[in-house]
Amino acid sequence: MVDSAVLDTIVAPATPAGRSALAVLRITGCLAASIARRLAPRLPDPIPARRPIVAVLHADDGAAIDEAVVTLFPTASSPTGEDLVEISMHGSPVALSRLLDAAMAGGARPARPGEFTERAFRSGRIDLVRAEAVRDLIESRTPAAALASARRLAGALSARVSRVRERLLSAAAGLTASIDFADDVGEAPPPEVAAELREAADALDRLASTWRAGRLLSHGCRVAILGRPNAGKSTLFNALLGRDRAIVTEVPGTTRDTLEAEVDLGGVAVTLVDTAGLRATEDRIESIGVSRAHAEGERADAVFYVFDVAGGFAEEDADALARLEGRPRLLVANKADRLGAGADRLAADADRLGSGAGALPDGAVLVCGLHPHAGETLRRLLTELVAAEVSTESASEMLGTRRQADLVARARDAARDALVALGNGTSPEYAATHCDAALSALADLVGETTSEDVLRHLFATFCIGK
Amino acid sequence: MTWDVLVVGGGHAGIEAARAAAGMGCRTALLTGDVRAIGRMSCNPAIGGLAKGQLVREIDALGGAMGELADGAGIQFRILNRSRGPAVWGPRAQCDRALYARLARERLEATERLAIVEGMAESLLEESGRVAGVIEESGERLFARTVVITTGTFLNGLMHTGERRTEGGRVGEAPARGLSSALARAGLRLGRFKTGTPPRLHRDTIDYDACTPQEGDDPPAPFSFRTKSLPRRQALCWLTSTNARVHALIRENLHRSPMYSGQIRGTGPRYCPSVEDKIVRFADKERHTLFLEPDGWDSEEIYVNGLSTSLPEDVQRGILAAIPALSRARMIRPGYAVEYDFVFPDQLALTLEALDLPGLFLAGQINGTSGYEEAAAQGILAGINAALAARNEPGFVLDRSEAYAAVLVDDLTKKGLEEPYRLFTARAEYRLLLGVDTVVPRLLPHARRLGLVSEGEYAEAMRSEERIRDAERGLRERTFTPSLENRRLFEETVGVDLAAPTTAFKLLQRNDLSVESMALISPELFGTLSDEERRILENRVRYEGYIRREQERLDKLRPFESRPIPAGFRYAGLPGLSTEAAEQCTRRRPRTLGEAARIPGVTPAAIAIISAHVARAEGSPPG
Ligand SMILES: Nc1nc2c(ncn2[C@@H]2O[C@H](COP(=O)(O)OP(=O)(O)OP(=O)(O)O)[C@@H](O)[C@H]2O)c(=O)[nH]1
Ligand SMILES: [Mg+2]
Repeated sequence: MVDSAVLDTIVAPATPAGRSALAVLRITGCLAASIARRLAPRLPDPIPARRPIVAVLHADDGAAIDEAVVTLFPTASSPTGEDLVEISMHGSPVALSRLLDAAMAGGARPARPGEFTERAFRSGRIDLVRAEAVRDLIESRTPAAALASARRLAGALSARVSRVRERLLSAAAGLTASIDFADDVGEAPPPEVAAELREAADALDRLASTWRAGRLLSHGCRVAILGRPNAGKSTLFNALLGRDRAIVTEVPGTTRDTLEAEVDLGGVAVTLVDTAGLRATEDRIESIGVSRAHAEGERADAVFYVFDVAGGFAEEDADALARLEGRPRLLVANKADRLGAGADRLAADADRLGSGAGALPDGAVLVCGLHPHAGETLRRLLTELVAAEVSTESASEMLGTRRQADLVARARDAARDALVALGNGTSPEYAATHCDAALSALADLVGETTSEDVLRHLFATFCIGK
Repeated sequence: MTWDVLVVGGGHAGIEAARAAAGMGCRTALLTGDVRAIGRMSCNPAIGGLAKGQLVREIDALGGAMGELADGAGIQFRILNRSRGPAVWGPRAQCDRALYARLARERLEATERLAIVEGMAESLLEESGRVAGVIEESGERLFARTVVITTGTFLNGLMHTGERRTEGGRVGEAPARGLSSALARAGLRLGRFKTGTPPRLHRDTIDYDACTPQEGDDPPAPFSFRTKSLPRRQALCWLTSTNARVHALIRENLHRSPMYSGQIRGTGPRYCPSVEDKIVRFADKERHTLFLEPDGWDSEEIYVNGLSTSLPEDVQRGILAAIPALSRARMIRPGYAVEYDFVFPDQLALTLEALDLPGLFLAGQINGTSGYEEAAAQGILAGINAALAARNEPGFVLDRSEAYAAVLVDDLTKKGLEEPYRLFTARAEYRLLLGVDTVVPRLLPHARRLGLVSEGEYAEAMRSEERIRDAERGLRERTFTPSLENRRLFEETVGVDLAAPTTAFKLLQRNDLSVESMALISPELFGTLSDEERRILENRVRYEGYIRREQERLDKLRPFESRPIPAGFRYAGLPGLSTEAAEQCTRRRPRTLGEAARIPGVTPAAIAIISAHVARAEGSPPG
């Protein structure tokens, strides 16, 4: 039988491929220290813990690879819960690959994606919520998203969840006492039970509602700019980006293919999509563009619908808007300058004028795309449209993944069911099952009872070396 | 000669162990220090209660004696938690102490293949790493293929009343000294527990006007499916309570109580071995209920349930004086605490056989449990397994989702013990499936397979479940249409507006309809069902969704719970598995992932690792 322990020390570069000033390689597992000694025979014996040591690394044949800094984190202080060796070397892809070969010759195998974090989780160093935060932090696209992930990584969300669990546990204990100690404490569940359940349900509901913001932060959102030809969509697209990305001409039908660009709006990575003007057309190319525009409208999380205020809000506009029913959208009445008022005044306070402005449809916002400050106004409007939750939540812990959101919602619903059962006189042994369901959803959330399948999928979404 | 099974001890565990083994065809001997002590209730004169009542019914369905003995000796029958669903009903009977012991002894004497031997076990006989019998104090050797030790609280028993100490396991009975050291020599780790008893009062010296009477259920429900009827005449119990003066007195004298540990563990209500513990743990409670329980029809003794204590006699007198109903009560015997050796039960397999000494089985309070019912449940399981082992057959282990008895044994053998183990319904993951209403269908098939119930008894007992299922089917099949006639019938009889065609099943799910009211509409729906069966049916219908969800939860977990770990699976050196987890698993040899998951020191992360490697060993992905 092969000694499986030998197979199971893992190694991976922790830095991206390519030439760079530095490259970092990490080895973890029970062979980590002995591999380090094999790579750098001059290391002191034993290798001191958590102290960076400069050493020359050698390949198996004795040829030098590089001079590097080697640090050993023994099990007690290692993030993976096993000996971990970190080697910082010069960022040469050739040297790095020779070092990898040497480490593998010493008994390590290449790590799977996320395996370092997986080991940290499996050894109990971090719970699943924090493990997920590692990935979220690496993948965050805006500073605000990075901050939210860092908070989760530091354990803020885990702490919040564990406070709720305390409440649920105490409710469960109360219910149970009324069953198992009915002769002593009396048959009616103590009044604290309902109070604890209510607090727990409310806390879980607040937590669940952070998912709107959390999702925006971690996944960003997609906003399509739609409207008839020549409404000024590309003009607004450029203004939002602050640069001339799309072609703008006075010819209707200028934009044909869709155009995408990303902006950071209040911490949310927003993908803006400029589209072809909506109209019936014989032109084959343009008509493909129009159907793409419609498709974008369906796919987007929110829509800017633009029309030329001088041309008026036409029946086609109403039809197109109707297709977007129920989705966050903003109706932009562009070319305000052509109403006769000064362009600068309108752009500066382009507030919702509502029906007060005569023929404007409800909720429309007057804008002048040509105004030098149009970009700021539009960014503010767009932030209000898609990222309002983010700014209000930014001070608290947010859920970061759909998995978390689903489980928190399930726990909340179960806590509410328990409350309802308690209120309508359902016998406590039944009410207790809801309480247990809420607790088990939260145990899943932090990874105590998460199924192997879920874990495998989850860690597979990590990058290698994390 | 060599016995197949030798049972040491004639308490509640010993009785069940001996009867089960003999019932399975083994030549069985029961060794007891005093035949008159067989089946003696050393503590309160009652059988059953919350969670314990369920256990008694389980013992009964496995062919055990406790249910019938309690039915025979019962003087008052009540089902606790009766206002709830049958999942948490706790049948309980106040018993005539002397009658119970007599019935138990008669029952044993009438058991075929069972010999009762008087004598004290002094040490174990061992032969090539197995137990081969016991040596008596007299030096006599008793040879046996398997030995079941059920000596309760007698190992090095020491009784405390305040500062005064007496050796013994029960008042007037000598302790078992030799056996303790024999077990230790056999390599078993022993610990020491204390348990309390309350003072006994003379029944004619209590002021009953200052008490609340507590009557039995009418009609009374028996424990045993074999008991056809119970006498209508029932005894009264009485309730009174402690008060601020009592609490103050206890607090002042805490330092004189050997029972009071001085530590408060946990926050929720826990099992309280003494009144001094209760008062310290629940400092804000102004009173605790005391139950005055008669010791039998002819006995003069009253047992003060709720007042277990090891405080000195003078303090006990002071306590009584401070309780109006008891202020003039004559104390027949003061309360005392017993301190005794127990064997840490994590040294036992799920069959209750010692992991490191094949052939030796332990059951009852010797395993650190409290209560007659917990003892008897272990007794019957140990007896069955000793019989199987004597015949070289594989052990009998129930699943946690199948019986409270299994929860008990699983907890005992897997978790550490810090205080005497008492069963609670909350210890079961599938409480809704373990109610008294499902005991017979759950366990009787096992008893039949083991030969512990006759075919006739089996068929008869299963009939009740069939009746309930038939009635449930009938409810689903019967639809009431909103005809003029029906609407009037519903309106006038039960005040319900029948607006649309509805099945009787759906109607019974309504909160404002019950079996009683539905029976007014259509009595044939419930035909021949007994009262208890009607209540069970009503609950099953009303809480159908809950019960289904519980079953689904179990079904979902079962693939994991029952995923086998191959015999001889190597834990040592599994990457990422802690040394502690590996050692524990190697020693305990869990048969499934579910069992492994309940071993202390085996974390979910460890289970994930084991699961992955079990799968790898089998060449399939973990599920
Ligand atoms: N007066 C005025 N002209 C504007 C304004 N916004 C855009 N325009 C002009 O309107 C014309 C069309 O602008 P685009 O941005 O190309 O319009 P579009 O909606 O993208 O048009 P298509 O791509 O053809 O669908 C250009 O000549 C712009 O300069 C505005 O606020 N005021
Ligand atoms: Mg354009």
